[in-house]
Amino acid sequence: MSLDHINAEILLDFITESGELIDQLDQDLVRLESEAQNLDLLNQIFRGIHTIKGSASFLSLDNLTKLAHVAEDALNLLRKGQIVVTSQTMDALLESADVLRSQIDELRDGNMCSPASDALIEKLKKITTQQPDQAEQTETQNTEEQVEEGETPLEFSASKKDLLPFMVEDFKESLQQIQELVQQSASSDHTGNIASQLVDLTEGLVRSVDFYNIDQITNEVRSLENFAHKLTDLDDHCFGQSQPRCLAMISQLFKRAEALGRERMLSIPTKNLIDRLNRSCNGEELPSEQCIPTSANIDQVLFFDGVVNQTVGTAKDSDTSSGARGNTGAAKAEKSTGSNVAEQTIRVDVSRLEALLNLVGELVLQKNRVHSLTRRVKSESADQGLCEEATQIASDLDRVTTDLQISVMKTRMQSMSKLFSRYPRVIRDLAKATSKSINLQMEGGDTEVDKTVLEGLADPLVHILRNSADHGVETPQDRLAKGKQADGNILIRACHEGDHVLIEIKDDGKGLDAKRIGAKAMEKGLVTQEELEAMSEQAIQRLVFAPGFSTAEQVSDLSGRGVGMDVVNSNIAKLGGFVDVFSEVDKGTTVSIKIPLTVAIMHAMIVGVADETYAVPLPNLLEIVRPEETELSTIQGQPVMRLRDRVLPLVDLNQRFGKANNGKLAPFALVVGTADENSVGLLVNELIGQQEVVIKPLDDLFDGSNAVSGATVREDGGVSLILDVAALVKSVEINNDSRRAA
Amino acid sequence: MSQVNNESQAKTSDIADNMTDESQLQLVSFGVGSEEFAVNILQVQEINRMMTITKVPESPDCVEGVINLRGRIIPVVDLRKRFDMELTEHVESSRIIVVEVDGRVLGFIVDCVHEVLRIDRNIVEATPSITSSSVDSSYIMGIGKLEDRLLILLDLSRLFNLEELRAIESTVKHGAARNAA
Repeated sequence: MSLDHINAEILLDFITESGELIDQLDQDLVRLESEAQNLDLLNQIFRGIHTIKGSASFLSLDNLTKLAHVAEDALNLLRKGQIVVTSQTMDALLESADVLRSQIDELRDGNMCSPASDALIEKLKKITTQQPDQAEQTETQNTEEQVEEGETPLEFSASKKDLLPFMVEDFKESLQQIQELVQQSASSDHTGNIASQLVDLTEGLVRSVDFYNIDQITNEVRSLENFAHKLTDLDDHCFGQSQPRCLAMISQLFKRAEALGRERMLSIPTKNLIDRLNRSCNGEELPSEQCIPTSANIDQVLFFDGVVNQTVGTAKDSDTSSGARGNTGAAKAEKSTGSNVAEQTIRVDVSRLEALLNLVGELVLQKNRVHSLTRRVKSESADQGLCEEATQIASDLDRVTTDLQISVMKTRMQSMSKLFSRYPRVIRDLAKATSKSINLQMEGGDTEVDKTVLEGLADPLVHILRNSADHGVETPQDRLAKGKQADGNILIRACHEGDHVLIEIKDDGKGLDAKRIGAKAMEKGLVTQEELEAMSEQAIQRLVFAPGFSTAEQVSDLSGRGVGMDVVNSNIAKLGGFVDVFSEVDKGTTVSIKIPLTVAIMHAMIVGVADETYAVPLPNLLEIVRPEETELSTIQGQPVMRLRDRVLPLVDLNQRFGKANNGKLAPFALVVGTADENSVGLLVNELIGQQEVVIKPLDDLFDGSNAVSGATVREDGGVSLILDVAALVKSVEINNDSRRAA
Repeated sequence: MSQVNNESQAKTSDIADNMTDESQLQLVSFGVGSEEFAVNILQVQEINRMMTITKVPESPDCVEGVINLRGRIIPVVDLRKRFDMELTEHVESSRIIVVEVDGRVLGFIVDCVHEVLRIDRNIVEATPSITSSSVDSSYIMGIGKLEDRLLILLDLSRLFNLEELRAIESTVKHGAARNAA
């Protein structure tokens, strides 16, 4: 079966919407496990799956519908309290969320979704047949308990109850007719015809509302009757005051009728409205502060007379939801409020945002060109006025471009909670699999980062979390033996730090054992004995980021394949970030990641090497020095310089990039480094200046290059390459290692 | 007819059907060294005069560098290097032909661009056993026999295959490593 029969756009909407719903579902289900009694939460989960089922069946995605349907059944019973939340139920439900997600992924890839396994369907069905007896009873109990805010339940005698639907219908019908007549009375010239019809209708209504035996309703209807009687005698002013109030009253009575149908009494404060309506009908001049402005609409009248106390927009909102909550259930209410919220945001295709960002990037380049032109004007033109004007324009352009850039960047920002929301599930599964008990705390979920950064962080963070849960936190027995609480804690926290984001994953587990790491690293040939002895404890701990390192004696299914932290390190480096680890034995481990907010634009130092210019990322640049002849020397063929009390390996970029430089060393050394203590000096011929550069990716063809990470367009339209500092530093180390080996 | 040729027909037919006769191929022809080559016009995005090329260190040998194509950075391959021909200075007539191959945009340098021409499909022959001395026959999609000359139709996806370009690179690197040792 293919997807051809489905409108592509509708399908895409479905995929996006359901994807979001399932993400939410996942989160809610995990929460449900600890808050089994939370009815709101259950309802929310139920609605989510219900929506998915509905849309899927509309698109005739049978396999998806089938699974969603059984899951919905199970949830429905949970919701009604007929079955209780157990570990098995949760497993089955979480599993179905997973399967639903994979089915949606299949759709995204353009394939028809495959059916869920029979085993899962069986599991879900088993849940629904768990406790079928006491069903009826609990259900009625539940409906009775559901009392909406602002409503009081009413007790009617059995005979009245039978009549109620009919009476409510009749009530509404009369109101409808009265409403039409009152509206007409506005335009007609107070002819007796409409008035007498109104009198008949309102009198009938007054009699019929006696049935309910509620004074307030009777009073309200009486005020309408009063209006009908006085209609022919009213002067313009009184009519202007009373007629809109009548309409307002009718609108409220409609709501009452609706509520009465559900044996509920709405508490609407209509005292002012009745009072003022009656007085204006009796020909009294209302004090000016009680006069409604002419041409006021119903909402305004209601507000004016204190019937509702919200502004017009929100008043409407709550009306629709309370109206809908009646018989069609809360799902509808959610929808109506939801759609109002949705209008605040719009979905935009990512490619459009990318295009916008590219354009802004171009603009930044043009801005840089204007700046260089201005500098030329300043140096070459004698005309003072011209210089000033050019400078003015350049600085204005600078400001606008910067603002624009920030705004566009903001549109691409997403909050970290998008990632965080998946973790409770990850930790839950892991804790279960390893029979540990782990509390996961998350802070700073509202920290926003660029979409690309967020995506790049997803895998590394899961890796680290898994490591913390699997290797860091001990089993409850071990923990108790060490005098800790049985429950392990993992804290994941994100916050802004300048134009970087700092993410910390902290556990209170057994910590990193420097001795074991050192031994392991030596065994794997990552370091030598002498090197190890010279290393600080923290440097040894950092060895966990070295490629091919894994200390877990038991390689588990969950982590410990020996690639984890290495991949984390390189992925984070790719995003221009640093990862570091700090640990104390038996106290815990903290892994911190520092990553730039965005990857599209960065500050760089532009340098000249032979006839080319290169950009050195500013975060990597530690200092710039001019080495003296006497400070230079070589150690085992590696050029080095003495910098204060350190020996700094040097890389002559001329030589490295195969450019002749007359055998002379370039005059400037840029001391660059990454987070780990290693740094090297890059020798360059010329310092051009600091600039904001737009990072452009290089073709895959250049993946093999160990010197550049990207490119940027210069002011003159040419291309400058961005140096990959981490790789350059690493290549020096490797060089040293191979030399030592030889 | 070989399989290669059938593929090329399938590739061009989709879009070309409406515009041209199905039996016709529309090509761009250009010269590199002493030979004349042609590529399907549907693969060609644009033809540019020579522009400043930025060399990328430690990149495959035949890759000349990168250029800025209106804000997009694309790699440029020197066809002379790719074909192991004798290297010459770029001349006034040198052009960069920008093509899209398997979703990647890249440019290649040719000595000169001749013309856009239509030829009959049936005058294209599958790669004969005797091919030009300088070009590996696996990069050739077919030979167009014109009245007065031969056109070598290039198979760009093979010529600019990522793995193959990288393979060249790795041999270069190994060589370098050996030299260093």
